[in-house]
Amino acid sequence: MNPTVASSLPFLILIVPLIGFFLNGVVIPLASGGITKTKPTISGGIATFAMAVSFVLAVQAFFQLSSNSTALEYTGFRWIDFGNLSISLNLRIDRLSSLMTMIITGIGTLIHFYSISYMSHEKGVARFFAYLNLFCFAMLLLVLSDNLLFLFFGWEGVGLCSYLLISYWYEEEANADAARKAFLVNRIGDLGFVLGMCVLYVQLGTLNFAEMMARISPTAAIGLLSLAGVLLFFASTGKSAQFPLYVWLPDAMAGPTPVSALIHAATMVTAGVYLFARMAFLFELSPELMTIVSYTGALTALLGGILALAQTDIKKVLAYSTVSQLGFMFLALGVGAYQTAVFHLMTHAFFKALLFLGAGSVIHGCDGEQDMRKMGGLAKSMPITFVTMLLGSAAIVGLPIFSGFFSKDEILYMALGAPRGNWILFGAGLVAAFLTGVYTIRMLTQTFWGPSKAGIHGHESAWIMTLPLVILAVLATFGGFLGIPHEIGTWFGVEHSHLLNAWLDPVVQQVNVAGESAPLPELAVSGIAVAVAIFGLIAGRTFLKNISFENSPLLSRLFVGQHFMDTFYASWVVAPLYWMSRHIIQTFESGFMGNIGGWIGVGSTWSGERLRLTQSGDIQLSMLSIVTGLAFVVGILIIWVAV
Amino acid sequence: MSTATLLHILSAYLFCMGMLGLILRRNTIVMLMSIELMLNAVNLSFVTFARELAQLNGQVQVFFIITIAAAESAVGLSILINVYRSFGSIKTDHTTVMRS
Repeated sequence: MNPTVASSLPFLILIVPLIGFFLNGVVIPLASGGITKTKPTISGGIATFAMAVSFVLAVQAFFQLSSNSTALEYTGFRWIDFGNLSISLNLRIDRLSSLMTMIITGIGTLIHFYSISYMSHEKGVARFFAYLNLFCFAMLLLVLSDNLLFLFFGWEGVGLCSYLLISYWYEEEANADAARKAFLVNRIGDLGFVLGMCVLYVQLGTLNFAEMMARISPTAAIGLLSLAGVLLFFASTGKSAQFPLYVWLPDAMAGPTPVSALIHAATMVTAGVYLFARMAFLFELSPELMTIVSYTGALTALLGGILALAQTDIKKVLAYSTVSQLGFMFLALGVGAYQTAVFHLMTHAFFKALLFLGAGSVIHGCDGEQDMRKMGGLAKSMPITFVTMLLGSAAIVGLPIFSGFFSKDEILYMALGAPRGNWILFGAGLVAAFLTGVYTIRMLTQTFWGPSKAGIHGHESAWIMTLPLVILAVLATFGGFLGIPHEIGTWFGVEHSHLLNAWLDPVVQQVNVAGESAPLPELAVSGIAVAVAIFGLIAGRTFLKNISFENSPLLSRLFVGQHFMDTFYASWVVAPLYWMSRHIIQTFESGFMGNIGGWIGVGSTWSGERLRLTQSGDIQLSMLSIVTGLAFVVGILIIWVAV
Repeated sequence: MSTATLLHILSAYLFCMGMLGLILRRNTIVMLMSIELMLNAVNLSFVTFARELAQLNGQVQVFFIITIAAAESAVGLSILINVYRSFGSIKTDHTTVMRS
C-alpha cells in the first residue's frame, strides 16, 4: 500500500462542522433563552463559518495531495480491540476523499450561506443549522473514514440527518410521513450494508480498505465476496436512490429546499457512488454483478426521466431528475468507468445544487408556491435566478462547453465503448438524455416564460441567495473543463487534458476501458448526444409545453399520481405486512398470548387444590417423605456405583 | 463374621428402628427417644470405625454427639412442655393446626 503521511488535517476537517453543530444545537439556544428565539443571522453565520473553515482546510489538504499522491492519515483512538478485530477511528484523505471533501464542504458552504436568507422567516433556525452541520459532519465521516465500519457510521448518520431535516416542518403530517418513508427505505438498504460488512469481515478478517484490498487477491472464496458485493450494491440502491429503492427521494422534497440541495448535490445520494469507487476492487470480482449494476443504472435513468416529465411541483421535477442522473452514474460504475462516475458526481453536484437553490429562490420569490402551473413569466421579475437556472439547465441537458456535456457524454461513450458496455445501455442512456432535455425545458417554460399567472408575480431574492447561485452557475458552466476528452485535448496540443482522470489515477482506475474497441469515436458519441439533447429541448418546447397530464387518464396513471413502485410497494409489501400483523394480532396475540395468563392461573389453582393435600401439617408424613426421598437417592447411587 | 461387621449391622438395625419409631409413633416423647436411639446408633458406628481403623477421631466425635444430644433433649423437652400447655396434648395428630 502507498505510504502515508501523518496529518491532523482530516481530523480538523471533520471536527469543525461538529463544533458548529454543538454551538447551534446547545450553546446558542441556551444563550438566547430558548431555541425559538435564535436568530437566523447568528446561527446561520456560525454554521456557514464552520463549513467555510472546513472548506479552507479541505483546500489545504487538496494542495498537499496535488504535490504527490501520498494519502494524509490521522490516527485516532482505537475503538474496538477484540481478538482479531481491531477497529480504530482512523481518518484518511487520499485523492478520491479529497475530491469528495471539496464537494461536500464547498457546496455545503454555499448552501449554508443561502439558507441564512431562505430560512430568515422561520422561528428557531438554530435547530435547522445544527442539523445541516451534523449532516455535513456525517457525510465527511463517510468519505474520510479508512475502514468500512466508520464509513457505515457516516452512512447511518446521513440517514438520520435526512430524517431530521425532511421532517423539519414536523407539524404537518405529510412531512413526517415523508421523513419516515425515507428513513425506512434507507434502513432496508442498510441491512444489506451490515450483512455485506459481516461477510467481508468473515472472509477477510478486516474492515480497513487498504488491508481488504491487499488481502482480496489471493482469496479463493470469490463466491462469498461476490455476495458481499451484491449486499453492498443493495445498500447503495437505497442510499443513492436506485431502482427499486428510489421511492424515498421524491418524497424527501417535503423538507426545506436547501436541504434538498444538500441531499441531492453534496451529500447522501453520492454516498453509494463513493462506496463503489472506494470498493472497486471488491465489485470488480464479479462481472455479473456489474452487469446488473449497469442495467439497474440504465433503468433508473429512464424511469427517473419519464417520471420527471409529468410532475407539477418544481422540486419534484428536480427530484426525479436526480434519480435519473444517479442512474447515469451507476450506469458508468457498472461498465467499470469509476472515474467517469465520480466526474459526473462532481458536475451533477454543481448543476443540481444550482437548480435546487434556483428552485428555492423561485419558491421564495413566489411566497412558498411550488406548483409550476401557477407560475409563469418569472424571467422578468427574477433575472438573476432566471439566468443562473438557464445555465444550470444547459449543464444538465449537456449542451457543449457546459459541465454536463463532458461528464454525460463520457458516460455515454463508456456505455458504448467499454467491454461491458453495449448498444442497449448506450441507447437507454441516449433516451434518458433526450428525456432530460424534455423535462428541463418544460420546467423552464412553465416557470419563467409565458404569461404571468394571476396572483404570482415573483420578486428577486436577496443577494445572500443570489450570490451562491452565481458561484454555482460559474462552476456548473466551467466545471466540465476538468475532464476534457483526450481527443479534444490533442487539438490544442495538451497531453493530459482529462485532469480528473489524472487526479484519480493513483486511487481508483478505470477498469477495462479500452477506447480503441469502441464502435464509435468519442466525438461522434458527443455529437449524437448533443443532437439528441437539442431534439429533446425542441420537442419539449414545441409539443409538451401545454400538455397537461391530468386530463389524460392513461398518462396520468402512468406518470403522475400513482408511481409504479409506490403502488407496487403498497400492494405487495405494505398490504401483506398489515394483513400479517392483523392476523397475528387476532390469532396469536389475543388468542394465545392473551389467554396464557388465564391458563397459568387456572393451572395453578387446579394443581394447588391437589398439592395442598400433601401439606397436611402432619410432621410424620413430612418425615416419611424425607426418608422415602433419601432412600430413593441412596438407591440410585447404589445402583449407579454397582453398574 | 467379624465383630466389626456384626457391630455395623447392629448399628444399622438400631438406626432403622429409631427412624421407624420417629415416623410411626405419635407420642412426641417417644419420638425424642427414637432420635436418641438413632444418634446412639451412629455413635456405635463411629466407635466401631475408630476401632477398626485404629484412629481416635471417631471416638472424639462421639463425645461431641453425646454432648449435643444432651443439649438437644433439653431444648426438645422444654418445647414439649410449651406444646402441652398450648394444646393439652403432646400427640402429633392433636397438635396440627393446618387443615387438610
